[in-house]
Formats: sequence, structure tokens, C-alpha cells
Amino acid sequence: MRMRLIVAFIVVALLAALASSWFHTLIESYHLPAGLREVVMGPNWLRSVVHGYAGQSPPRPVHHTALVFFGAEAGLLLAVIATAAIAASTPVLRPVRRLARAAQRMAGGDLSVRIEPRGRDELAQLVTSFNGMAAALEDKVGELQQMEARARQFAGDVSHELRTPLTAMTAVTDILYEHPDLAGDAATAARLVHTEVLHLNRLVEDLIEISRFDAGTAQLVTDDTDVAAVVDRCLRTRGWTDVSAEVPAGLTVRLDRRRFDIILANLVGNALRHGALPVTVTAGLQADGHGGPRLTVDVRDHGDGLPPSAIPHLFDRFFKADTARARSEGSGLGLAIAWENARLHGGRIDAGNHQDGGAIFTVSLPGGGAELYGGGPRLRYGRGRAVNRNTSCYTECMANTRFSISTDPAIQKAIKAHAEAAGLDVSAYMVTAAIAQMAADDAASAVFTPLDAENASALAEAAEMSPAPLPALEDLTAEEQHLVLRVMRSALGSEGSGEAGVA
Amino acid sequence: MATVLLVEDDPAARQGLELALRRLGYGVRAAETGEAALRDVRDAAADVVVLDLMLPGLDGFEVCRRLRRDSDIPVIMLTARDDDLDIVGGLEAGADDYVVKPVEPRVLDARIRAVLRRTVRTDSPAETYGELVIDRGSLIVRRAGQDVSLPPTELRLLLVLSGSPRQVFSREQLLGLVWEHDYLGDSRLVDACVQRLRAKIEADTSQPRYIQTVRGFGYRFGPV
Repeated sequence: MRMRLIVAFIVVALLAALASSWFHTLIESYHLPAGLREVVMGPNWLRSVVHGYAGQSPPRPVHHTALVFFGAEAGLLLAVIATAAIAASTPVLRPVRRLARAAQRMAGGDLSVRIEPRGRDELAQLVTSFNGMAAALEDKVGELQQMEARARQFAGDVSHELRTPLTAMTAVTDILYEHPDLAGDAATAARLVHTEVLHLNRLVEDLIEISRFDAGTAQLVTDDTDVAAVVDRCLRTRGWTDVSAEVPAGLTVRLDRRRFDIILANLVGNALRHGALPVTVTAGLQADGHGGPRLTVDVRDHGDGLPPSAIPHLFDRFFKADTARARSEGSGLGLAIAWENARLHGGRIDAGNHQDGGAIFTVSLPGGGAELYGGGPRLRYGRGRAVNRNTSCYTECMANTRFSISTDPAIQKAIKAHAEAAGLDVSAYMVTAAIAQMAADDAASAVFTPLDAENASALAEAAEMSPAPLPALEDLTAEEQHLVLRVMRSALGSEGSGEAGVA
Repeated sequence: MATVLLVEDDPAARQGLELALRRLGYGVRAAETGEAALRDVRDAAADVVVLDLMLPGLDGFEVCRRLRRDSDIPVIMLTARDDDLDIVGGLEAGADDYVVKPVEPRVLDARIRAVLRRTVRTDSPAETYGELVIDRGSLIVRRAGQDVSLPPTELRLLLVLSGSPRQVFSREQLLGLVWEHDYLGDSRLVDACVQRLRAKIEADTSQPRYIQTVRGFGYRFGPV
């Protein structure tokens, strides 16, 4: 816009210059009053300069002198005009730019933006209208958000209120249902009431669960979880013995066990109800380019698969894929809840059809705390030189993993010094008398304490008290080895990955 | 036949639960308010209290605290909201376990029976650990010569832990052994109970000698 103004100014100036040159003879011959004459024809000293040059007797003024003179005059004029144009346009353009920035911020979501109107011209009016529009928009959006919050709160409140009458009904339905004197229609009616009350209970439970996600009060309680164990338990407690699970042993990921169980139970339940056997659960760890390892769990069935039109809506609340089918025993919120549980972990669920038939649901969760190798617990170790017959030293030196376990703090100190000198990073752990006792008691418990100056002396005393021989690591049971692995992992934190396993 | 003191203000819920408990074979006394419940417990002994948390007047938490002050009677909370605050508050007030309303009679039955089983005696000589003396035969626990009064769940937790000293039990294992929960239950039950137990038997709860936390694993008795 500035360019346009400058160009307009220049055109006007040129026209004015042309006009004055066209009519200069008129000006010359007009008898103007003295003061005005000087204004119109230029001050005397300027005229004498110009005419002095122009009126030079032959030879005529050389071309390039005149050109230079003319060029200087034109250049000066252009500069003056351009400056005038810029000066005139700036006070117009600045508020326009401010308006544009404000509009951009609003588009980005900041509805509170307002501009100070300056002056009383059309631009100021525009700014005032803008402010009015922004205020109206902000109010409207606020109102809509409040309405949505109220609706969600209402759903949650209703569900809570429903619990009270349901308590009495749940307590007594099976009295009716199991009553020996009821027969015929009465017995059927009692059975119906019983089933529906239980159904209602499940619905209310699910509604309350969903309302917690909406209110933002759902919390994640994570712990290092053995995935195979959770999957197995999930299937066993529900009696799903014909579902096969392929989960690598020793795969441990930081999960909210309860919520993971809910996700799995919903997906497997759906597979059994709406799909067909065989149903398989496969889990594994995958390296993700950016965020580290991810736990993926696939639940697959061999039924007819999902209708493609339903796939984008599967996780919607109360969505039923087959509306013609009689209603299922679920609440219609199962997948929505599973999805929210996955999202709470920072993960997702994807639904689709397997290329060989049947539906496949893939849960993908961040694999924090996961063992990258995904294999069983493996402890590679070597025997160091024993300082005395009663203690041994196990040193594990590999690319990223260095653990040294001993009951003798002196040995540990020596190892640490040696490792530091060699530029290796060795984590030295003191084993208390407990591990020596461990093999004897067959109790899978041990205490490992990081070696540092402070506790070294205290531990030295403790170690003296029980000079029992250390069991060889290969003499530990798989469970105990797994335990040792877990302790090391938790002691080192999530950075301490790269443990190896039993050779 | 065990007697249940049911404390529930909603008349329909009270009637329904009373009916269900009777059918399960329990003797039932019902109270509408916390005050009535406290009076009842003073007048005649009950074996277990099933206590609704949301009561008019004296709320469930306060009733539980007052019950705990004078006796070791087992208390099972009835809560309509499995919100964190409710459960943690109830456990801190001294409840042994909780069920969420609406509750199916067989679930309530299982919890009541589990809580009554906690005070089963065995024939073993008294064991001494430092200042603590645990007599499994008479179910008496003494600390520094003084009797320590423990409600059934805290007692059972202590017995289970001290039964295998220096063995680490995970919260899940304890839920199964002490509370007999068979689902991925609430480990807060365990934590709250440990807190209460420590308050009674540890000289310094910030440096527990008897009930030790093994970070990342669970709890362990000793080494003393």
C-alpha cells in the first residue's frame, strides 16, 4: 500500500510539474503582484542562477551540463516527494498493521486482545468496531465453554445420584431372582429385573469413569509392570482361557496396571463378543524414532472384521457399529474408556482390519522404563580375582553396562578406582548380608546399596558380621536373577538400560 | 453367626442391605445416623461395622475415628464415590476395607468374611523383635512392655509381614494375603494400613525399624 501511495504522489507531482511547464508562458506574461510574482516565478537569486546558466551566450550550454542540472533538480524533487509520501502514509499504515496483528492473535486463540483507538477518524472507528467484535466473540465462546462444562458436570452428577437407588436394588435383586416360590411369569420378571439392574450398575460405573476423564480428575498411577504377568492375569481372572497371548518374558514397562487391564479387557471382550475365535494378544517393544521405545499390544480376532464406515467412529461414546443388532451387554462406553485410558498414558489405540481377515486393535503406549532388548532376564558376568576365599567379585563390563556386586567394600573401592583410571563407568553395589542369606532362605529378596564414601565404612562393619560365602550368580533362580535385574534398573533409573542376560 | 452393625441413612438402601445381609446369614442391627451407631456399639457388641461415609450429622469419617478410639472392631466403609479423597480419608480414619455402592451382596459377604478371618489365632510361641513382642496364640502385641491395641487388619498385616522376616512383599501380594482382594485392587489400602501400623509400633515413624519400605518393591519386616 505504501508503494501505491508513493507512486500516486510521484504521478501527482509530475502532472503538476508538467502543468506548470505547459502554462509557464502564461505565468511569465501575467502581471502578478510583487510578492506573489516571486512565489510563482521563484526567488530572484534562483532565477539568476538558472538563467545565468541557460542564458549563456554561444556556445549554447553543453548538453550534459543541462542534463546534470536537470537530473539534480529531478532527483531532489523525487526525494522530497517520496519523503512526503512516506510521512503521509505512516500514520495511516501503522494502525492498519496493528489491526492486522491483533486479528492474527485472535485467530490464534487469544480472544482477549484489544487495541487503543487513537483520534477520531475512520481508522479509529474501525478499531472501535474491531474491539466490539472481539468482546462479543469472547463472551460467546466463554458461554459455550460453560455450557459444555455444565453438561459434563450434569452427566457426572446424575450418575452419582443414580448410585443411591441402585444400592437398594442391587442388594435385593438376587433375593427375588433366587426365590424358590416364584414361578412362570413372576420368575421371568425377576430374572429380567436382576439382569437389568446389573446392566444399569455397569452403565453408571462407566458414566462416572468417563466423567472423570472429562473433568480432568483421572490420574495415572504407574509402576514397573511385567507385561506378560498382567496380560495373563487379565485373561485368567475373566476366564478367557481360549485367548492366546504372545508376550515376551521379562518385558517390563512403566504402566498404570489397573488402566492397562481395563484397556485389554475391553479389547479382548469385544473381540470375543463381536469377532470370532481364535483371538490373539501379541505384545512387543518397538523403537520409536523420537520418543524412545513404545509398547505395542495387538488384539486380533478372526471374525468378519470391522465395517470400514464404522472405523472412524468406533471410539465415539455410545457408538454401536451394528445398529440393527440387538443391544450388547456392554454400556456402549467401553471403547471410549479404553481410548481415554490409552490417551492418559500418552498413547493411542488404532483400529483396523487385518489383511488376512478379522479385526485388529493396536494399543501403543510409551514404553518408559522398558528393557530395550525385550528378552528374558539375562545376566552376563565374569569372575574377578577373589581377594579372599569368602568373597567373590562379579564384574560385568560391556558397552553400556557395568555392575559390580560384592560384600567387601574394600574390593568395591578398588574396582571403582581401577575403572575410573581406565575411563570406565562402573556402578559398584554393595550386597549386604541379605544376599548371602538369600540362597539359604530361598527368599527372593535382596538389598543393594550404592557404594559411596559415606556408607562404605558402615557397610564394612556390617559385612564383617556375616562372612558367608556369596552364591554364584548362576546359582540364583531365574526369579532371583530377574529381581537383581530390577533392582539394578531401578537403582540406575531409566538411563541405566542395556542390561544383558544370563549367558 | 456374626452380627453386623449397618450404618446407612438412605432408608431404601438400608432396608435393601439389611435384607441382603440377613439372607447371607448375618445378624443385622441397623442405625440411621452416626450418633445412633456409636450408641449401639456401646450397648451391645457387634462383630463388624458396615459404615456409609455420607451420613447426616456426624459423618462416616468421624464415626470411624471414634469407633477406633475405643475398640478394635472391624470397619468396612460403604462409599458411593470411589474418589481418592473419600477412600484415603476413610482408610486414615481407621477403616479396614471398603466397598463401592452399589455393591452386590456376594462382594460384601466376601469382604465381611475376609475381615472376620483376620483375627484367627495360631499356636505359636511369642516372638520377640527388639522391643516388639508378637504372640500369635493370643494375638497380643506388646511394645516396650505395653500392650498395643490393633484392629484386625493392622494385626493381620503385622502377622503376615513378621511371619517371614526380611522377605519383601509387594503391595499386590499384601492385598491378596491380608485383604484377600482378587482384582487389581487399591494399593492405597496397603499404604494407609502401614502408616497406621507404624504410628502404633514404631518409635520413630520417619525411620521405621519394624515395617520397612523397600523402594520399588513393597514392604518388609526388619531386619531389626
